[in-house]
Amino acid sequence: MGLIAHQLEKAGIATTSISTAKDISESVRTPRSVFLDFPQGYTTGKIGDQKLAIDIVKAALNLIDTVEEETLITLPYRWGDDDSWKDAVFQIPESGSGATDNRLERSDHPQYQTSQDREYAKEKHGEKDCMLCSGIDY
Amino acid sequence: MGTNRQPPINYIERITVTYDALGYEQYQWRETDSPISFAKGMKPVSESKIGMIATGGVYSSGQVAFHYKDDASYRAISSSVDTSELRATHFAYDLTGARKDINVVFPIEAMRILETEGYIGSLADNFLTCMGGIYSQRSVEEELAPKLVERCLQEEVEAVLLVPV
Repeated sequence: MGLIAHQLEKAGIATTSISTAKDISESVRTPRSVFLDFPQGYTTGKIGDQKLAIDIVKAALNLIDTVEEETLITLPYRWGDDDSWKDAVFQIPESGSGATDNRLERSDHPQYQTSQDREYAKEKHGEKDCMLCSGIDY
Repeated sequence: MGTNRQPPINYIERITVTYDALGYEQYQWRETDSPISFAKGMKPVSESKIGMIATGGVYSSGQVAFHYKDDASYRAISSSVDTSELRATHFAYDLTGARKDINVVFPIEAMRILETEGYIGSLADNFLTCMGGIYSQRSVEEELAPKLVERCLQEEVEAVLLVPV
């Protein structure tokens, strides 16, 4: 996201980010960021917690109004009473059985959440392979 | 009370060790060392048109879904879309939360409420989504990022909220 932020800023569009990976944000140097110490996949809060999402988004947007230099601030919210969720993130089992890759196979076919979505997309776009999906009619 | 408090995860270190254990080639993490640009002369958020770019693999039912192999495309999703039409698909993160409540990776309802409350001047007609997790930085730098910039300029946004996963 850092590369995208830098190009947007150069084009005169201000950016602000919400990050759950502080070290990656520091490495790519996003111009304005808030860091939320939550698991990957929960960048803007918890399921069903609209107030938290609003507070997080506001904290990020506020940086556009208030800072003009590289900024990364840590938000005060906690995922739970303790941080034990961090134990399982990219950890190699101590038994020495080695690491496992839990990510899914990197196929180049569209990956639909539901089979209905696949049918609906086919209906709208025909059989032709839609490479970009970036047209205005999408 | 919190008995197990830990500092922020060092993802780069953990991923480096994991890749090594898996026998994968090491990923070259992006380190920006040159001065970074800042857009100048910004209007307040309350007077600006605000866009959003999210990398969580979000698409709207009817759109072609993203694929999992360095997908450098993006989707434009109407900022007034019915939230029940939104889907998430990704190879790298746990989709449980996103599929129960898309707002945890794509805070569209928060953005709409903030517009209604006047905190945000107005919203872009479309928000943009992509996959992230693209190994090729060249593909991001020369393909995806320029396309997103072009689209943001077309959407006439003054500022963009970036939501990586």
